[in-house]
This record gives sequence, C-alpha cells and structure tokens, in this order.
Amino acid sequence: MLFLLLSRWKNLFSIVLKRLLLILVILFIFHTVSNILEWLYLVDAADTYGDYFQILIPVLWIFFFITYIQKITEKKRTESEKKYRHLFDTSPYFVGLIDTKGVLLDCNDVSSEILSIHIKEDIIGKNITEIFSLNEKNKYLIPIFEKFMKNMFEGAGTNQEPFDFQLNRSTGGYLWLYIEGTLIEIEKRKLIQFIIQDITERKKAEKELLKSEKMYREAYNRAEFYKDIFAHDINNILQSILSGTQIGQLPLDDPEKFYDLKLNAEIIKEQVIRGAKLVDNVRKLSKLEEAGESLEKVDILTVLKNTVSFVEKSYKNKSLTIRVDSIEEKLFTTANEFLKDVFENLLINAIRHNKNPMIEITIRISREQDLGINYHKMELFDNGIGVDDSMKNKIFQRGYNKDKGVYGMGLGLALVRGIIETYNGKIWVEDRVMGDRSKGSNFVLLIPEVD
Amino acid sequence: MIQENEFLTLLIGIGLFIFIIFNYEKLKTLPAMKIILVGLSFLLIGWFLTILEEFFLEDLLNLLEHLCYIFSSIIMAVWFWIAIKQKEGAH
Repeated sequence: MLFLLLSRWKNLFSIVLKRLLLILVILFIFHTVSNILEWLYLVDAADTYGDYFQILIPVLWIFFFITYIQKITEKKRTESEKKYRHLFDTSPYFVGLIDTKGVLLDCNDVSSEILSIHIKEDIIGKNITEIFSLNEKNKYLIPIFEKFMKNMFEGAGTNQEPFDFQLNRSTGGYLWLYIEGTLIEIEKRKLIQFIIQDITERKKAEKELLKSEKMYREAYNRAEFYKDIFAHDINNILQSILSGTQIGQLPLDDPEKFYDLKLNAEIIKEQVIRGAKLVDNVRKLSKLEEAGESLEKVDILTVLKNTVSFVEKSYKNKSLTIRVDSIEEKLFTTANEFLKDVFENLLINAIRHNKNPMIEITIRISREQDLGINYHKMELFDNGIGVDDSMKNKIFQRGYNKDKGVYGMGLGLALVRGIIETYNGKIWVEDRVMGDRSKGSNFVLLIPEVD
Repeated sequence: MIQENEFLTLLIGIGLFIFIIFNYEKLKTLPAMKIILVGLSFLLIGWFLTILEEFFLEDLLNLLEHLCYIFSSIIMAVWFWIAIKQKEGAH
C-alpha cells in the first residue's frame, strides 16, 4: 500500500535515495572520526557516538537498498507501460477497453477517424449506447453490441466469434468493420479489449470479385447457349434445306412433281428466312448484353403504330384486326431501335399462335405506378391458343424451343424480355380471361415513363 | 564483555548481507555495486571483530576493527565519487 502511494509521487524515490545517501555519508564521517578519536584515546565520549551510529548504519543501508529496488521496479513498470501504450496509441486498428456496464474506458486515436468524432476524449467514459446513438442510423447496432458483451462476459470470451458490421458515418457513406474481442482481467476487474479493423476495401474487392464471377459465369452460359443454337438450330435449318434440294432434283416435266418442287422451294425459302432471323436475334441478344447501347427519348405510340402497319402488310393473307387503345397522343420513354423488335415479336407471336379464322389483337395502353415509379402499361390481348400456366415463365427463357415456326427459333420472347429489362421495364403474360387460357393471352409490358 | 549495541549491529549487518544476496539481481544495477559490497564487507568484518576482541587478542583485533572501518569509509567515499561521476556522465 505504501509502495503504491509512494509510486504515484514523481521523483520521490530519487529524493529519498539522495537524502539517505547523504545521511549515510554523514554517519560514515562521524563514525570514522569517532573511531579515530577513540583509537587515539582523545575522546572518551566517542564510544557514545559509536553506540548510536553503529546500529543505524546497517539499518539505513537496508532502507537505502529497499528504496533503490522500488525505484528500479517503478522505472521498469513505467517503461513497460510506455512501450505498450505506444503500441496501443500507434496501432492502425481501433483498439479499446469496455467494462461490464458497456462504458468505454480507453481507446486510441483511430476512434476519431472511424467514428467521425473530433477527439477520442469525446467518447471515453461514455456507454456504447450513447456512442452509437450519436448517429441515428447506427442505433441498430446497440442490441448487437449488447449481445456481444453479454456473450463475452458470460462465456469468458469463448462463445463470441468475431463479426462484421456496417457503421454509418455522420459525414455520409458507411464503413465495413470487423470486430474481435478478448476478455481480460485487470486488478480483479473483468474488461473487454476489442480491436476493430476497417475492412471496407476488402468488402469492395469481394463485391467486385463476385460481380466478375457472375459476369464470367454469364459469359460462359452465353457461349454455351450460342454453341447450342449453332449446333442444334442451324443444323435443323440446314437439314431442312438439304431435304428440300434433294426433292428438288426430280424431273421438271412431271406436273405432279412440279407442284412438289414449288412446295419444296417454299420450304427452303422458309428455312432460309428462319436462319436469317435466328442470326438476327442472336446478334441483337449479344448486342443487348454488351455495355453501351445508348437509350434516348422515344415516343412509344409512333413506334407501335409503325410496327402494326408493317405486320398488317406482312400478313395480308390473314384476317387480322389490330386495335390500339390509348387516351394520350404521345407516350414517351427512354428506349432504342430495339423497341420495334419488341412489338414485332409480340404481334407476330399473337398471329402465329392463333387458330381462329379471324385474328383479333387489342393493345390497351394505360398508366401504372409501382414502387414509386411511373410506368406506361401496355396490354396486348389476343384471341389465340393461350399459354399454359406452367409455361408462363419458361417462354421468356433462352433456349425454350417449343416454337418451331418461321421466326425466332424460341429466341424471340427471350429477346423481348432482354430488351424490356434494358429499359428497366417488366414483361409477363396472363390469360386474356382469368383462369381460361383457351380464350387467348394478355402480354403485359411496363415501360418507365419519362416527361 | 559483549556490548548490546555491537551485537545488534552485527546481527543487522548479517541481515543486510542476506538481504543483498536475495536481491542481488536487482541491486547489481546500482553503479559500482561491487565496490559497495567490498565496503560493506569491511564494515561487517569490523563489526565482527569488535565482538571477537572481547574474547582474545583485544589490541590486535581492535586495531584491525578500526582499520576495517577506515577502509570501509575510504571505499564508500570512492564509491560515492564514482556514482556521482557516472550520473554526470549519464546526463
């Protein structure tokens, strides 16, 4: 206890040592002089001096040595404290101490950088609840840290794993941090020593890596997909053309066979058109997937009306009615040249998948809001064969190849969805009459509205 | 006749040396500790001789006793001078 009290007084040991040394020197002088005098029989009373001083000498030496030992122990303790204090203060991580009540007892200067505070003294002595409450967005961390402390103190530090958390900064943005805690005991007092590391850069790198991985996987899937198209679909087209040309080798002077020749020519023509369309769709799909297709402000109605005219001309041989219902004259969105492909694909699908003598297609345009975004809603009602519930999602997938008709080779709706998604829009199919697919389909498009 | 103070001084002196032995690792960092030990040794011998002179060779042992005190004082003075010099050198 005395040692502890003394150790708090600066230079005390030095002062005590110096004084002791002085006393010892004086004692030695007296002792020496009194012995010399006694020896020379000059002073009888010298013995009396000797009596007093003699006992004091070894006592004082013991006291001197004890004080010296205490001084060097204190010096070593101070040096050790200085050494570890330096490590604590200059650590690149946020290091600190919390007590059982969640009060921050000490931390280093990195705290001001991480918590966006002026100096560490702003938070020392405060509870973690108060510290996280400095920023409203960080209050969600309070229960997490309360649990962390509970696990540390109750489990003797063994049942609390290090973890990551996001800290919102008052200056804006956020940091990803990694915390690790250790339970320590100082003077019979349990404390948590924590180390917090800024892992924002690491998280960014991980995210980029995941993104790269996703892009690589998509590129690989695309390559596989295109490989399948050329291996399968092109092969089908070529086989059909080959069959046609083989039949076409029959003699031309046979009238019956002449009719077959004409039919074969039509088949060959159809297959070539299929192939051309396939190549065109693949080209468009790959263009969509590359970055850099710029969007501009486009009037949807103008594009739609042009596409409707084109389709009506293309299908002059069919009884076809296409009606466009729109309250407004102009409907703007940000799109590109592929918007006409969207309408063309949908209209042609509606015509091809229709067994009725009279094909009726109605395009109704309205407005809709979803999650705070305004959309133009386009509903394409047809009286065709409809789409089975199990197929409503599959038809928009690449590689879905039920359609063996002239156009698309099953790529058409995948292309349509891809295009709409580049406009940040949505597309899906419903039954024209809810629950009865035989009455036809309703293809719904949501395209973001612009002023 | 053995004097009480002399006997006590010897006992405390022996205690001092026991203390030094047990704490030598820490005390050896004192400047010129070996010189202190030599000085204290002469002192202890002097205290021992002052007891012995009561039993035999009174005059001789008394002379030796006082010589030990003188040597001890000189050595302590030398140590003190060396300690100051070392401290000045350190500054």
